[in-house]
Formats: sequence, C-alpha cells, structure tokens
Amino acid sequence: MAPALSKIEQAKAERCGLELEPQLAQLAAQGWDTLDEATLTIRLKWLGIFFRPVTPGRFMVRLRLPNGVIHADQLEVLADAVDRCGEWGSADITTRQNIQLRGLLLEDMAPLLSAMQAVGLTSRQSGHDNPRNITGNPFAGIDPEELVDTRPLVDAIQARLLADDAPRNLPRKFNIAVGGAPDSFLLHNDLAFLPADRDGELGFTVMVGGFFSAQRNELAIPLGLWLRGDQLPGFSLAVLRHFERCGNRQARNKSRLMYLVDELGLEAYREAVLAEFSGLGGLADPHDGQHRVTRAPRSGLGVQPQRQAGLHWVGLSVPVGRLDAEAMAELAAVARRHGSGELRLTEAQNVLIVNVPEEGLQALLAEPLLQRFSPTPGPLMAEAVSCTGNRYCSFALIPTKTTAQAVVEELERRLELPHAVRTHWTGCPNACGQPYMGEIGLMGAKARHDGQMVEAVKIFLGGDMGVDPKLAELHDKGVPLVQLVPVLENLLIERYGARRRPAAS
Amino acid sequence: MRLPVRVETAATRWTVEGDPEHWAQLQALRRGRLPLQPWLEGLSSGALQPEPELLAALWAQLKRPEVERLLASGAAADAGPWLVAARQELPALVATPAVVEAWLEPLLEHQVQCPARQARQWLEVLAAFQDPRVAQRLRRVVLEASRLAIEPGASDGDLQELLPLLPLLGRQRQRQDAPLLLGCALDPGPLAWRRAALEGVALGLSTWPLPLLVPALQRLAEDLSSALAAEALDLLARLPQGQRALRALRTRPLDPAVAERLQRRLQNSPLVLVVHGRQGGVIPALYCDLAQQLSRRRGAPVLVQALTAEAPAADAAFWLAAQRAGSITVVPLLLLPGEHVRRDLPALVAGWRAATAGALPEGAGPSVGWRPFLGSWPAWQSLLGDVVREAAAGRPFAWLHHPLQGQLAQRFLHHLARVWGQEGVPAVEPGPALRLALDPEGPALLVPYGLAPSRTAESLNMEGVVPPSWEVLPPLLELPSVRTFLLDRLEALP
Ligand code: HEM
Ligand code: SF4
Repeated sequence: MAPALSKIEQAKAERCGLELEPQLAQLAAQGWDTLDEATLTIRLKWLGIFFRPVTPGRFMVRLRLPNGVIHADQLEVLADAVDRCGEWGSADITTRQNIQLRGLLLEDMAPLLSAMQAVGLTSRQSGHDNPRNITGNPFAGIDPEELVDTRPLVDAIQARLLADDAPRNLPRKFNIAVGGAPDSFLLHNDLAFLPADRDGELGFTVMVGGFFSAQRNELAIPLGLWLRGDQLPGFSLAVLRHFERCGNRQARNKSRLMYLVDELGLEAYREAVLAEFSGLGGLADPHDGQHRVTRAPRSGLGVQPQRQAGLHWVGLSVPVGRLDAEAMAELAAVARRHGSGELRLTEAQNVLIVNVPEEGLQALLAEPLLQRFSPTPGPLMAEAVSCTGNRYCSFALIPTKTTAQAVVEELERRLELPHAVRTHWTGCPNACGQPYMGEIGLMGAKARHDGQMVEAVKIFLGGDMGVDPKLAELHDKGVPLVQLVPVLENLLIERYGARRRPAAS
Repeated sequence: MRLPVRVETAATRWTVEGDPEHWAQLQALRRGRLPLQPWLEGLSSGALQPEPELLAALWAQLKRPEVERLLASGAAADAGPWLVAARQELPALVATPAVVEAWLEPLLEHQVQCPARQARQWLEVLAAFQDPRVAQRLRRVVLEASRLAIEPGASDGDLQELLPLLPLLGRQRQRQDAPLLLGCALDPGPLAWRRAALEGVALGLSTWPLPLLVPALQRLAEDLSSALAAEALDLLARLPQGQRALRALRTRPLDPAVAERLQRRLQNSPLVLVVHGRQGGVIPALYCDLAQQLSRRRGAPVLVQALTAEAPAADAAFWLAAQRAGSITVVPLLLLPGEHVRRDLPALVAGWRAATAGALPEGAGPSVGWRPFLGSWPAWQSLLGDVVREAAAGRPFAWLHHPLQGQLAQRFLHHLARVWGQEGVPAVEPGPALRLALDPEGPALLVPYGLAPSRTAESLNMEGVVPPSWEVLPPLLELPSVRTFLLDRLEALP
C-alpha cells in the first residue's frame, strides 16, 4: 500500500500552482478569503506569490534574479509596484541574491506579473517545493579574481529547470549555486558546483546536501563528480528528476536532499544520479572533490576595480537588506546615471553598482543615496545578515531586522573593530538567516527574565566559510534582548579584538 | 481527507514556554506527530496554560466537540491568548471547510455569552470567518464605535482596541458595508481610526459599488492627512476605469507629495495615429518619427495605422499599457472630412474594439475612444493660418486640397476659406496632367494641404507643372512649428 500523502503533498498533486496564472485577475476580484488553504498558502507560491498570515490580504512576491543580476529598468518596475502600496510597501534583498516585495494586494498581481514579463523578470517557482533562485559569483564578469563567469551558467541552469518538462513537484525546496571565484562559499546549498580542475581543465566539482533547518544543519559534501560548464544544466535536471522521484514525501522535516543521500548512501546516490544523467545523454567524470574555493566571501563593498581597465564597481551596504520604493527608484537612477544601469545583489544582502568609469566615481560617491547606503559601513553593519522577523513572519520570536540594525548600530557606536565580523540574525529555529554561517549567529528565542517570558536570542559562535568550513555552535541558549548589547560587546572584545571607543564609557 | 498518522507516545512530557525543547515539541504537535488528547485534557482541566503558541498549533486539528469542550472550560476564560493565536493561525485557514465546521458555530455561540471586553476579543477571533452573521456583529460594533470616534475628545484608548475590526469588516466583503467603511475613513475622527477604515476598504476593494467608492476615494485624495490621501489615490489607480477618476484629480488642490504620486499613477493610453498612407500601405517615414518621439514623451506605445493597409500588430507592451490606462485612443491625423473620416474611421475603431476583446480577458478590456479628425481642431486651423501667412510673407498664396464631394465637405471647405482668408483649390489629378485652376500670374506660394509627401504634392515639383517663380511649401509635418504643435497636443492627450 502506498503510504498516505501528507496534506501538502495532496495539494501539490491535485493541481500545479502555475495553472493559476491566467486566473489571477479573477481571483483578485473574488477576494482571497474565498481561496482554499492549499491555493492560498501553497499553490500561489509557484507563481512567486506568498500569502502572509501576519498581514492577511497584503501579499509578498518573491522574484527570481539569476546570479543576482538586475537592470535599472527592471528595478524600476519593482519600485513602482512597491510605491503603489504606499506605507505597506517595502522590499528585502534576500540571502539568495534575490528581491522580495511586500505589501501587495491580490489586485496588484496580474498587472505586476505582466509588467515584470515585459522587462524580462519572473517570479516563477520562487517559493515552496521548487528550485529556488540560483546564485552565482556576485562579481561575475567584472571580477579581477574570477575563475569562471557564472552568469551564463546560472541562466542556462534556470532555463533548463523552468522548462516545461522539468519537475514541478519536488518533495522539498532545493537550493542550487555556481561558484566562480576563490571566495565562492556555497556549501549551504543542496547542490553546489565549485570551480575545480581535472587534468588541467577548469570545470566544476559537484557538492551535494547542504542545508539548514530547525532539526539539522549540514554543509554540502563532495559527490565525487566533475563537470564541464555546459553540462551543469543537464546534470542539475538529472539531480532534480531523481530527487522528485525518490525524495522523502512522508516527513517534511526529513525531505531535504541530504536525507536522500543518507538513505541511499553516497555511492549508491551517485550511481543513481549518474544513471539519470546518462538517460539525458550526459556523462560525468569521477573527481576527488578538490576545488578552488579557498576563502570566505568578500563583501565587495566600497570602490573596487573591475577586471575591465578603467571601470569600477561600487558596493553599497543596505542595512539588513531592507529597501523601500524611493530607495529602489533611486538605486536604479544612480546605476543609470553613473554606471551602465546594471546592479548586482550579494548574499550578504547588499547591492553593487557596476561599470562605473573612473571619472564618474566622484559624482557617484557624492550621491545623497550613499548617506543611507554607505560604501564604507562599519565592520559589523557591512556583514550583518538578517531574516524577515515578526513584522512579516509569523514564526519569528523577535523583530529580527529592527533588532539587528539597532544592536549593530549601538555596538558600532561603542566599539572599534580591527576587521569585519559577520553576524547572522534569524527570527526562529527555521534558520532562514543562516545563523550557523555567522562568526556570530543569533536566533530568536524566549527566555525568562525577572520572572517574565521575554524576547531573547540564542547565540552561536564560530561559523567559518574559509578553507576549512565550520558551522557555528551554540554558545548561549538565551540572552534577553535587553541584555544583548553588553553581552555582544564583551564577546567582541574578548574574541574579536574589539576595543571600547574612548568616548563611550 | 486522510489524517496524518499519529505516533502515540505513552508519556508525553509537556514542555512549557522558555523550555529549550518547547519549540520543537509544538512543531511536532502542529504537524500531527504527537497525540492531541493529553494536550486537550491538560487545557480543559487547567493543568496546562492556554498559551498562544500551543493554541495555534492545535487550531487546525480540532473537531467541533473538542472545540466546544475547550470553549466551555476554564481555558477559554480569557480571550487574550486565543486572539493572539487566531491572528497568527486563522487567516490561512478560514476557507478550509473542516476548520469552519469545527469553529464557526461554537465561536458564534460563545461570543454572545461573554462580557463586553471579552466579547470584543472573541469577535475579532470570529471575524476571520467570512459569514453574514459575523459581518452583522462586526457591523454593529463598528457602527457604535464610529459614533464614538467622531465625538470630540473621544478616548483613543477605547478606539485603539477596536481598530483591528475595521479591516476585518472589509474582509467580510459585504457590499452593504461600503457606506460605513467609507464614512469611517472620510469623517473627522482619530487618524488611526480613519486609516484602519481605509485598509478595510482596501482589503475588500473589488466588492464596493463603484458609484460610491470612486467619489469617496476622490475626496479622500484631497484629505489633509497625506497618508490617507496617498492610499486613496493608490486605491483609485487599482480600479477599473481608475485612470479616468485619477485624471479628474489633476485640477484639484492636492498635497504636493500626493500630487507627485498622482503624476506617477497617471498612465497615458496607447495611441493609434491614423494616417492616409501611400500606395501599397507604405507609411511615410515622417509619421514613424513622430510616433517614436511621441511614445517616448508619453511613456506609452504609439502605433501608426495607414488606411491603405492592414491594422498594425499590437504587441504585449501595447496591451499592457492599454490595460493599465484603461483605454486606447485613436487619433485620425486626417485633414478633411472625406470618405475616410466618415466611413473608414468607424470601421477601423470597430476593428480595435474587436482586437481588444480578443487580446485581453473580459472585464480587463480597455475602452477604445477616438478623437475628431485633426483638420477639424480649431487650434489646428488657426495654427495653419499663421503658418501660411508667415510663409507667404505678404505674397499671394493658394492652398491645394484633395477634391471632396458632398454638402458637408463643401461647408467645411468654406469654413476653412473663411479662417484662412483664401479659397482652397481642388487638385484633381496627380502627375503632369495636374491642371491648376489658377491664374498664371497668380500666387507666389503654393500650399499642398497634406501632412506627409503625397503623389499630388510631389507632382507639383515636376518640370512644367508650376512656373519656377512659384514656391511650393513642403509637406506640413516637415515644418518645425507644425511638428511641435502635434507633439505637444498629442502628448497632452490622456
Ligand atoms: C492608393 C490610393 C490612394 C492614395 C495614394 C491616396 C492618397 C491620398 C492622400 C495622401 C491624401 C491626403 C490625406 C490627408 O492628409 O488628409 C488623400 C486624401 C483623400 N483621399 Fe486618397 N488616396 C488613395 C485612394 C483614395 C480612394 C480610393 C479614395 C476614395 C474612395 C480617396 C479619397 C480621398 C479623400 C476624399 C481624401 C480627402 C481627405 C480625407 O478624406 O481625409 N483616396 N488621399
Ligand atoms: S528564520 Fe524563522 S522568523 Fe526568520 S524568516 Fe525564517 S521562519 Fe521567519
């Protein structure tokens, strides 16, 4: 007897969310309250539309921005969509080099999706059990240290995975990334392709099974295969098809790819994927898993010389990745005025203006927008990453973004730091903010303080994305938010070489 | 629906808030991996606190008898934690039949029996469900509160508690509540109250009758609170025919930030410029240039359609702009009331209406409107008078037009003759055969009355057609003043 399908599996099997697209205008007219739970909370995510229980009726749209590349005219369409939502509107840069828009009414969806299509943007399959936005080297094509330009590879993988014959109903979400530089740390992905040599040829070694969750955290492990760039789309499809067929659909907390690798054993898993790949006409070479990624990611902030002589990119710090309509429109205008109109998003939730000629730098640095998004932020703000938090996420146990920003600003007022320290903030054990990757990871929690239950964080320490990657480990299981600044202050002094500023007492 | 298999564990150790295992345990409970009964027992007997996270985890899993039992027990004495849990959990569940079945009736019953403050909180829990009885209770409370809200010195504290009910009333989507919600948003009262009412309007937007909604939102767009005004404006922009309502606001005294927002929301309709065209449907390049520049200025597509050819293909961008603007405008760049204007134009407009119905889903379809033909615009006629007088510089001149038939056409020609102080001359046959009924001593300047090059006009430049001493004015669209006039006027069209 086939095991009973869970509620979610039933919903996905009954109907694919992509079929809802032509009906969006009609759904808006009839009102979202009439949608059944599965359509509202599951199927719409195939179109990138997210019902938000915290703001019922105000929806989120998550895009797909392969390799984190976006152009001014595209950003303007998104800015306009957010602007139309007035005070409800905002946007986040996500940890997958992506953008999500908030505060939209269901009425906004049909026109937004057409407007996005007209400028070459899509939000398709950006949520739930789908291959999520595919990340790549944020400096691809302009990076003096580049090994491979990841942009065409990422585009090709996306095109293959969104094609009509690709899986539409995975057992769980699936993260893919392509590395292109020595700092492409990507082991938090289910499937990562890291630049690697084989017989003097540069290609990619395949890493599988990385993920974070409330139950388990794993870095990806070498699958022992090597591929040329043009094989990545076909191989990704093979992995997805196998995962679609064989992944665990009974227990959602045991369904990420690593559980399948565990279940089959690495060898058997590799054989199964190779068989699938060869069914698609592909052939992969064995490989020892050695790769060219040797250090933690650069922030890319500030003025940086491009590979192209005379051109620069300017990396701007967007505090905890939060944007509003005005900032988005201004970013687009600035990119157009001083660069080529192209922008890049980083996994640290920051933005780069690229292709700025030497002689345009000064004018760019004088833009008022840079008062808000600094090219030279403090050493904590530069690499502070945060999930959404309780303004928009019902799981959140603390207001993640506002806490992160306030605490980081206060610490920078009090302390001098010799180098950047990466803090990762997440609102609950679901770990969307990747706390295990932070030198300091902070996770929303509740703790008892003066006999009351109060908002608190768990502290994790020691995440390392260098040659010898490590996940951060639990250090303190509940620091009330009211005590957080002094606690972090001491940690930074004891472990990260911070010094109190003379002015602060 | 099959229920998930439950793992019965002999002794479940209850964790409480703050316990490191608590979160994981609630997740397991929520996903149906822990037995429900012990938790229900614990809650009903008072052994377990009705903590919001716990209630939220249970919400979707209870059956009606269990709900009834819980609501009758001490666990429901305080609505507070239930409300917190409901806010988090219910919105996604309210259209799920099993949840409605389990909760709606027991909640309706429980809510009426509670004392005032509790009743208000239970009402908010209840209000997540779309149901006429729920709407009626909400309406009563909001109506009472709205009287309180307009009293000067009304206590903000009381209203604060009631704020969440306004969006919830909107979500009930009962057409009859339009006047109440719009009234709450419009009437003087605490800003927070008015904004909550407007959010109620937003969340039920497609429900409200437009004849009530549009004027109310237009008034709100002029409100002293720019936050209210801005939201009202953005709501207008989302309505079918909203562009018309927005345009009417252009002459109103708006807050400067709101006026800027209005500029951002106004969406020009795509234009179809109808021109005569040359043989074989060729469109003179002058028109294409004009269209391109105009399209940039208007931020909307502009097509040129020749009467001598098939309608041009409209692409996705054209339909999107048409949908956003709510209309397509056909502008006949024709100069005389001939057959084309009288017969071809209505047919052409009908063609666009049919194409619109084919390209866009019903209800989303923009209207197709048309302007009078260019030659009839008084501003055009007086401009041409100036242009010709200036070019003639005191010399005698003549204007040549395509021959026209019918009384209407003759009246029109007489009218032009009066405006310009000179009778027009019909140019019968193009080419060398062109006979100009003109005094050979006559005019020093010939004005072919056409926008773009035509065979007739071109033949004027042929050897021997006109004496070398006569000057022939180029096609009108080549004159900078004419071009500027057209760009400005066409840009200003909605
Ligand atoms: C391929 C053949 C034709 C060519 C190249 C041609 C060319 C033109 C041109 C260039 C104009 C001036 C348009 C303006 O600026 O208003 C014109 C006007 C006119 N044409 Fe034609 N034409 C053609 C066929 C016809 C036919 C078959 C009729 C009659 C049924 C006709 C009736 C007229 C009339 C009455 C006008 C006066 C202006 C108006 O109606 O707006 N034409 N023609
Ligand atoms: S980590 Fe938790 S709080 Fe943050 S976005 Fe994810 S689910 Fe929400």
